[in-house]
Amino acid sequence: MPRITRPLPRDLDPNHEQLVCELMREFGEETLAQAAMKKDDAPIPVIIEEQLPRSNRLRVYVKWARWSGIREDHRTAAILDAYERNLGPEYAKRIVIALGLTPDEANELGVQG
Amino acid sequence: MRDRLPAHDTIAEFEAARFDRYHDGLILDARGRRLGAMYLLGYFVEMTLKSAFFRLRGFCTDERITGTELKAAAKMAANDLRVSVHPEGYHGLQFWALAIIALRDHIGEPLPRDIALELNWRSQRMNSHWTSSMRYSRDITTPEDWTRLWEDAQWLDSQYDRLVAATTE
Repeated sequence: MPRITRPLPRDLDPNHEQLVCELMREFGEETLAQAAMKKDDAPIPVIIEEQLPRSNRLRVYVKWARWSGIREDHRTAAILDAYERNLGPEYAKRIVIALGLTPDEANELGVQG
Repeated sequence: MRDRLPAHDTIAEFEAARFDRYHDGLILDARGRRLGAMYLLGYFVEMTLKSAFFRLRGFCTDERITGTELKAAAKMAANDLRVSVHPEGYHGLQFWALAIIALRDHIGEPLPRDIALELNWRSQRMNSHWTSSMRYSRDITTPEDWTRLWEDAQWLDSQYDRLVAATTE
């Protein structure tokens, strides 16, 4: 008998596609100094990507005012989708920390960039 | 009573006390004392994360954890693990969660990616619903605040063995 398995539908923000699209525009080489020049309340996201020590896995912080009012898990999903679509699934699979932070949240946590 | 308190913290004491604080929180919530309930539940989360971190660091269950060990942990997180978030007086839930994820990689026993990603967003959510200084506030919490923190605390407890187990991806 054929057996069909379907994954659970993903729980995403209603504006997920728009968020991913806006994030994808920001990919590219950017130094931290350039990122720091962006104002905290700027509508464009600042993407801070770091390799975990002794590992090839990645930690990604995305500092962006647009995250305000968006659930934490939806932020993570948008970041992962933007990476996967822009840099491919293999690259995206290296990400084990994907945090979307508003500028205020980033400041409270001490995340620079 | 103070002289009957343990002279210093240990993993064993954290692991015993975390369930006391969890049940204290549930009792307060059932009596409509939500902020107090969330305050205690946050300590359940904090002790769970700290226990996992020090277990991964190789501490024995009765080994003393004082300000010196906490300071060394924060220094290690900043310098060796490159965790750039504040430890918030060693109460930072996000800090401990991110330190655990990085420490697992550092010791060559990376957390499975799905667990790491979920720990990352759940700790972010817990951090947004709890701070040790909330004890100085009147009750401004909502039922949704409690539900989210409780769900995240439940999830964390269900994953505790996986956080500290030597499973390689």
